[in-house]
Amino acid sequence: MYPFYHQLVPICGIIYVNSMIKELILAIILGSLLGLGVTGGYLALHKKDIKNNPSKQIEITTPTNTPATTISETPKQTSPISISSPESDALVSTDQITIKGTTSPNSLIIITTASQTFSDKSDAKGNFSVAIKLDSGINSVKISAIDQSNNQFDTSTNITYSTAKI
Amino acid sequence: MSFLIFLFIIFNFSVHQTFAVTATPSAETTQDIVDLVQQKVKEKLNLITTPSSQPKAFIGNITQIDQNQITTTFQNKTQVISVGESTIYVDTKKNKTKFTSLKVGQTILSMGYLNESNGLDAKRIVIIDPKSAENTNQIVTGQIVDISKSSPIMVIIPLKDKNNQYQIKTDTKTEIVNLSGKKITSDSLASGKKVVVIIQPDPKISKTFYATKIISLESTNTVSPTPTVKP
Repeated sequence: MYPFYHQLVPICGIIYVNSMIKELILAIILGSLLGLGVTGGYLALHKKDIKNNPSKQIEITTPTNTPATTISETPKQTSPISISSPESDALVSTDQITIKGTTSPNSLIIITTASQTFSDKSDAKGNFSVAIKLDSGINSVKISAIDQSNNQFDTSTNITYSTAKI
Repeated sequence: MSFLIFLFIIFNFSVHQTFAVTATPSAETTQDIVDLVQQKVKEKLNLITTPSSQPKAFIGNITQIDQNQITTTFQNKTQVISVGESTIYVDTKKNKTKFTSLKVGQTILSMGYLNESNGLDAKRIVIIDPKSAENTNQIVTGQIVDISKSSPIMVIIPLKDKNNQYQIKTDTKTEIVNLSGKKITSDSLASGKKVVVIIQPDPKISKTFYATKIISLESTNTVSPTPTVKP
């Protein structure tokens, strides 16, 4: 006869095996939870990174005919008188040019070169366009606008007239 | 059973990753788009900042001469002029000359095109007399405070600077016009009237100017207000 405790061995073995399966299942569940946690954490961090750095944010849209990027122009600072054409230090091959610019509406515009004077008026929007004749070589052109309150605003530009090939 | 659970987890994880890839662009795609956007922005910025292709001419006094470069200044603005083998040099007598004839202190007119660093790639450099570039005309808006009836002289105080005054001479060549540009006689000018004068300094008499043009700012159709009696 075996002692009583000898009968306990197989029972304990079954219990031991059962507990191993439970531990294994528990480990798998914990492992999967850990994996999901890591994935979720990564996605959350990635989302936060995009939020903090808008330059990285990419929006995929269907292509259209409109330009992909549009740069909005900052509004030009309004000054009493500004010359839009010709550019400063321009070199031209004709002695007849037109000075274009903007100033106060209905201002008297006076333009002088070393040898001549030209005058005109700006329109209701302040735009002016005055045809002038240049001297040969460099022309220091002085431009003045006198507004309706008799305030005078001055500017100047250098324009060179040369027929030499550049 | 544990194997099944393991397979389920692996499958679940891979499906999750697949959806993640399709929902957001991959790192390479993202970089490509970022590069494309940066390129477009650069192109637009270049359009705004790059010098124009229009020819330019700069006047300036030579302050430094290097091997292939000249530095000039004009009205406190420094300009770097790059020269090359094709650059033509012209002296004050309009004769062709050489790079070696340029000296510090000379005034030159450099013609060419602006390069990327806003220097001028000079095609032609002309040595000039600085006086030839001067415009001695002055445009002054002022009020006539004194006008001589016996001689063609008047005194004007500028509206901008009432502590200053100009003694102005006129002659038969002086053009006198109203705001509409119509010619008027010198009789129309009187003390107290506001005018714009284009004047040049008289080389013979200091503080005296010669008027080439006078524009009267007084309206020709001035209507004085008529008092109305209200009932």
